Amino acid sequence: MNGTSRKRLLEDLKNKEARDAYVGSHVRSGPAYQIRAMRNARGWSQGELGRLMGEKPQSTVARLENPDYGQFSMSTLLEVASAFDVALLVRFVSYSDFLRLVTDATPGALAPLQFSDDTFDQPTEAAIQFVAAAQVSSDRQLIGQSRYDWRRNFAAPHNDVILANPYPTPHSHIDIGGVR
Amino acid sequence: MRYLWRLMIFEPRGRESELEKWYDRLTPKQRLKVRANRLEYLVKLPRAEWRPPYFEYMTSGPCKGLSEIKIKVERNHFRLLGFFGPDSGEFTIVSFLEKKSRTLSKQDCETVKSRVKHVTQTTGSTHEWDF
Repeated sequence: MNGTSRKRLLEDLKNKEARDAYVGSHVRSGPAYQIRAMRNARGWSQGELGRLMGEKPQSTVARLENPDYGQFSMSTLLEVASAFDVALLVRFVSYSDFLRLVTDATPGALAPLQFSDDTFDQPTEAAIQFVAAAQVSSDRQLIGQSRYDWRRNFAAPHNDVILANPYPTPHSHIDIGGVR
Repeated sequence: MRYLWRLMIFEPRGRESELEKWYDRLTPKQRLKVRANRLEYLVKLPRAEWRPPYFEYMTSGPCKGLSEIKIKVERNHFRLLGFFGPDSGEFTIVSFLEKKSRTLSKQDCETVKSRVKHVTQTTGSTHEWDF
């Protein structure tokens, strides 16, 4: 993503309704792209994936791979994760962490390794970024009171997106380039 | 890290295309939905995964040999016609149409094909889409 694109993205995200729609679209379409990417990475047909998901018909897999479908139940997502032997992560995150994850362009970001191929002693770039992001979140919690003070004194109106970390941490090298 | 693909537009730098004018006119909500539902994933997908229903190669008819990115905004469907190239890691959009029917007119196809030819023969005839 180039600078102009990111600037426009951050500008559009200042609109509450728009950022809700952005998250909603990613949550609804992201799994479809990932399912197809993971299936192709393993060289499976839609029918084979369907069988691994408990004898689901091929048409079900085709529907799950359609980013315009967007109606995944939690149990379906867990079945998909099990079939590919990857983990499923469902958690609430800040917008800055969200952007870091959805704009991750590293190999494997869409098609993570299955358990048996995972390199636990040698984390992938995506994992390093995620752990770093979690660390920043943790740091923010630790400095919650002072952050509150910062917001009270300097924060923009409540509907503005504050993506820049006002308290740079040792992990600030992973800053996503928010507007300062 | 860079994405796998850059989306290029048929217009020299400094000249805004019909696609960019349309995109600029969308509301922030519509624009972010297009990004999250299509553009941010396409630029990360290997070429082999640019497939229906969001991407299609035209294998018959007057536009045979071209391809299109399909985008839906509200109830309207849009077709971004283009091709992979001219440089590696680029998909160049040469025409932008609102989808009224499944088939394109012969004239549309001729326009698109002449633009493809122009892009492949003329350097500096495209610029990156800063979506």
